[in-house]
Amino acid sequence: MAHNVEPAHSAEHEYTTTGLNHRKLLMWVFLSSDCLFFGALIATYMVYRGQSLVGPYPNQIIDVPITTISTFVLLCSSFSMVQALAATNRNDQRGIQLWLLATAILGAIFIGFQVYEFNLFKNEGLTLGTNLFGATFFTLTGFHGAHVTLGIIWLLGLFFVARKGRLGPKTSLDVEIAGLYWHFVDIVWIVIFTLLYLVAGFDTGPVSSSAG
Amino acid sequence: MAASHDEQHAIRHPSFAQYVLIAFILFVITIVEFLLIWERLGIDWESSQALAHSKVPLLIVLSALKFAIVIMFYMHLKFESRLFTWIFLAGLALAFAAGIAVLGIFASIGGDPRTYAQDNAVPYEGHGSEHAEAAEPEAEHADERENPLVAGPTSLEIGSIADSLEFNAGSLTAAANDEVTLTFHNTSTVYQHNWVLVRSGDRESVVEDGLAAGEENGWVLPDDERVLAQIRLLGPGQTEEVRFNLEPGAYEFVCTFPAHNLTMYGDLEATGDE
Repeated sequence: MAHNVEPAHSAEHEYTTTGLNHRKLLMWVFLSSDCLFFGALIATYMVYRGQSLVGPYPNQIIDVPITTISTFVLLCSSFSMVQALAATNRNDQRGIQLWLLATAILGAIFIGFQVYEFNLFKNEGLTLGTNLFGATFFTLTGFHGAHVTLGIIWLLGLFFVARKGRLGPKTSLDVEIAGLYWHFVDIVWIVIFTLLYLVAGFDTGPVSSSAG
Repeated sequence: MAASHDEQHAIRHPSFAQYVLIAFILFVITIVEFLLIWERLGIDWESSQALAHSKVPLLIVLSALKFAIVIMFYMHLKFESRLFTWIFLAGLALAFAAGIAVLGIFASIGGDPRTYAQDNAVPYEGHGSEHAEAAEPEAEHADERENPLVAGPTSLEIGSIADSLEFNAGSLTAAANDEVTLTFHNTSTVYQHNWVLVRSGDRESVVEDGLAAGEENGWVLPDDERVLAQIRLLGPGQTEEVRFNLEPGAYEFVCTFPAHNLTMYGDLEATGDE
C-alpha cells in the first residue's frame, strides 16, 4: 500500500501532496468530524438518561426485538455496499447496479422501520417536547436517520450513473467514498443501538430508578 | 479481483468469501448482544454483583468489536495508509473525550439532574396568577416549596381583599402532620365570606353541594366529609380562626358563597415529613 505514490485511480489529473487521494482524505476528515457531531448527541442522551420527570419512559415503549431486525437490515446493507465496490473493481456492470440498488433498498427498509417506530412513539405520547428522553432520543436517532436518508439519495445517484455504464475500475473511487460514508452511518448505528436500546432501553421512570 | 486489474494497485481488499465471513461474524455478535438482554432467555443480571456490573461493559465491548471490524475491513482501514486511521481515530478520541467531559461535568455539579429538576421546578400557578396580590405571600413560601421535606409554617393568616371577591393569597404552604392554626379576616365592608379547605380536586363538587345546601347551612353541605376544615360564614370585618392537621399533599381552599367561589379560591400545600 505504501508504495502507491501515484494516485490509485485513473490519475493523470489528480495531484497529491500526501501520497494519498485527496477526495478520500477529505471523506475521512469529514467522517472524523462527524464522530464529534454524533458524540455530542450521544453524550447529551447519556447525561439526561433516566432524568425524565414524566413518561413515557424507555421501558414502556422501546422495542428491542424490532430494532434488532432493523439493525440486521443495516448490517446487510453494509455487506451489499462492499459487494458494490467489489463489482465496480472487477467491472461487473450488472453487479454494480444490483448491489448499489440493494444497498439503497436495504437503507430504505431501515428508514421504514424508523418511521414506524417514530410514529408508534408519537401515538404512545412521546414527542420531541414530552420529556428529556423524547428530546434526546428523537434528536439523536433523527439525525442518524437523516444521514441514512442522505446516503440513500447518494446511492441512488450512483445507481443511475451506473446504469449509463459510467462506473468501473477507473471510477471506483466514487463508489468507495460513498461506501465509506455508508459504513460510517452503520457504525454510528452500532453505537446507538447498543447504548439507546440494549443498555438504556429498559430504563424506568423516577420511582424505580431512585432505588438504584 | 485485484489481480485482474493491475491499475487497481497493491491494495488487497478481502475476497467475496472473506466478506461473507465478516458479515457472518457481525451478525453473530449482534445476535449474541440481543440474546444477552432478551428477557425470554432470562439472564438475571441482578442475581449477583458480578453479573450486574458486567452487563454494560460486555455489551460495549461487543459493539466496539463490531465497530472495529467494520472500519478495518468494510472501510479498508486495515489495508490503507495509516494516516486515514489516525485522522479517524483522532475524531473518535475527541468525541469520546468530550462525551466523558460532559458526563463528568453534569455528575460533579448538582448531582442527580432529576433531583435538581424536581427541586427547582417552577410550580404551575394557573389560576393563582390571577390573584395579583398573592405575589407577596407566595414569595414568602417559595423557600418551603423548593424542598418538600422542609415543613411549612404552623400559623397562617389569610384575608379577603377589601370589597373585591378575592383572597389575599393564591397559595399557602402549611406544615403537614402538625397542628396548624389559620386565621381568616373578612376585610370586606359589605360581603359575607367563609373559608373551606378541601383536597385538591374536590373544590368544584364541594361548592356545588354547598350551593344546594343553601344559606341556612352557610353554603356548605352539613357534615360533608370532603370538607377538612372550615371557617363559618363571617360578616364584614369579622375574624375567626381554625385548627387542622393535614397529611402531606395538595389542598384547595375556597369561599363557597354563591358566585364568590368563581374567583375566591387558592391552593394550600402541606409539606413536611411523610
